[in-house]
Amino acid sequence: MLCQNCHQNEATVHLTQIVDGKAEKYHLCEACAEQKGIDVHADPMDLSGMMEKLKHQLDHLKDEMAEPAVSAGPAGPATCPSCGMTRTEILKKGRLGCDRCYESFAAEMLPVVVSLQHADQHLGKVPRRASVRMRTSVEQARLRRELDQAVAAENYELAAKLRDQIKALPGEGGSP
Amino acid sequence: MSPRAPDEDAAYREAYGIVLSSRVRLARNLRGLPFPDRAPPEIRAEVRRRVQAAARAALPFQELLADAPSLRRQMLFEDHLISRHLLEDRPEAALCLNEARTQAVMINEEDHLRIQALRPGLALREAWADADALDDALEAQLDYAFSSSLGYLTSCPTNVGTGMRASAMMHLPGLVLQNEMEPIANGLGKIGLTVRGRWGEGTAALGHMFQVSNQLTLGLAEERILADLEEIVKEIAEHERNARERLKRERKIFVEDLAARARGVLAAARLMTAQEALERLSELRLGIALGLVKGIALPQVDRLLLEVQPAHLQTAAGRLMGTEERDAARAARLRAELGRRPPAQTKSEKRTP
Repeated sequence: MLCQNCHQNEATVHLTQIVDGKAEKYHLCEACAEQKGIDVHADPMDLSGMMEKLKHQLDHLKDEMAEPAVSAGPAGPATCPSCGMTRTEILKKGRLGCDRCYESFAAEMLPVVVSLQHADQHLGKVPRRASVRMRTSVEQARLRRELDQAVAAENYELAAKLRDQIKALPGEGGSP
Repeated sequence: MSPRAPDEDAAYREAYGIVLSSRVRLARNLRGLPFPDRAPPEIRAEVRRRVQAAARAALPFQELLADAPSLRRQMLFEDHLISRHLLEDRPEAALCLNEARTQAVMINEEDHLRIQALRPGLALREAWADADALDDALEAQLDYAFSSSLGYLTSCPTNVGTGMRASAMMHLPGLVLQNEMEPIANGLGKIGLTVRGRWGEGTAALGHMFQVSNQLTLGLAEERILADLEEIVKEIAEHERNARERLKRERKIFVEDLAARARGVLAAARLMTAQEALERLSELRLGIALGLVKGIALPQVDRLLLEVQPAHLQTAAGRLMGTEERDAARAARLRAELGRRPPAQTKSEKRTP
């Protein structure tokens, strides 16, 4: 794959950025990435480093913004209503306080998850106890992924089959 | 150790010569309760009670680690049954085990549950099948924290999604001695896998033992993660076989010398640190695999790799020992097994008086 910026060198730096809640992927060569101020030698799993960076960005944000409304805007509540964990603590430790923290701090956590995992959707096992809605949601994501791959591989027969399977899911209207 | 038939040795070497074991662990948490590091003691106790009750049928051997002496915990750590994290005194941390000691649940580690399954050799799918079934059995009685977008929710975002870390323990002396380990380690990082030393910190892999595991846990189904990992482990094993063959072909005297010295030191030393024992046993293991060392079988070396570790030594002795006493006991243990063997058969050892 060629660099999206210079269209000359092989793209070796692959980034995912969250813009308006949507993941966007960038593929750059090392030179262009460095030009854009991306640390190409950073260990992708260096959580504390990433948290540190994020903290700087947040501090910056906080200065710019007034107290945000709950669950809206880039910064959510400062404390998790379920376990009392604060945003600062999470950023310092790199660990969350409880399962609800993922929702309480979604604005901060989603970019962290995406930069660590290069993904934002679970495609694996679903607990048997999970609701039909949850199971359908994961199944739908899995089928959509397969559909994308089938289309990319120009396997239209398989694509049509997958589309039918997606439509057949409970509570599924059909179009994305 | 009873003498083994040559074909039995060959079968063992084929099965466990390079990939010693496979492991799958799953991180799970109970819905609506704070994670262990955040939970007050009464919540941790509640989590422990609930998980112990759910695990009783499948994993009847249960113990409270907080009450266990540190030697006991160290022993479980050396047996790969608990994590380094649980060596510390953590209130309400517990372990549930099956009789074969191949399946376990750690309670109140970093997550409420760390389910794990171990299999000898390269058997990642089998280990997953074990862990998956155990997970189903536990979930029949427990309500897990799960989101349809982020999957199983974990204390650290590096585990979110499948919560699965699958790993293979590999003995890679050929790649290390041929200076091929570093490029491989770097390449693995680029494809979402990671390699680290089994013993020792950072890149210094003691005894050429490495753990290769998946780094990513979100955005891929478990089967896909396992298939990718298995493919790479097989590839690394193939590289290792080639590196060993090249060593034998191109640097025979060097590798013969290495194994013979290792054997000599193991057979004669009076003081032996754990580090030195692991290094010499690894070199001996390589020599046996290449057919350069006779009279010692691989299973014996593999057993010694475990027995020379500090908690195993002290447990066998039935008491705590200081460092020097331990080094003496370790050397004695190794001498007893490797010191009084039939006369050496390789050329370099014929000179031994």
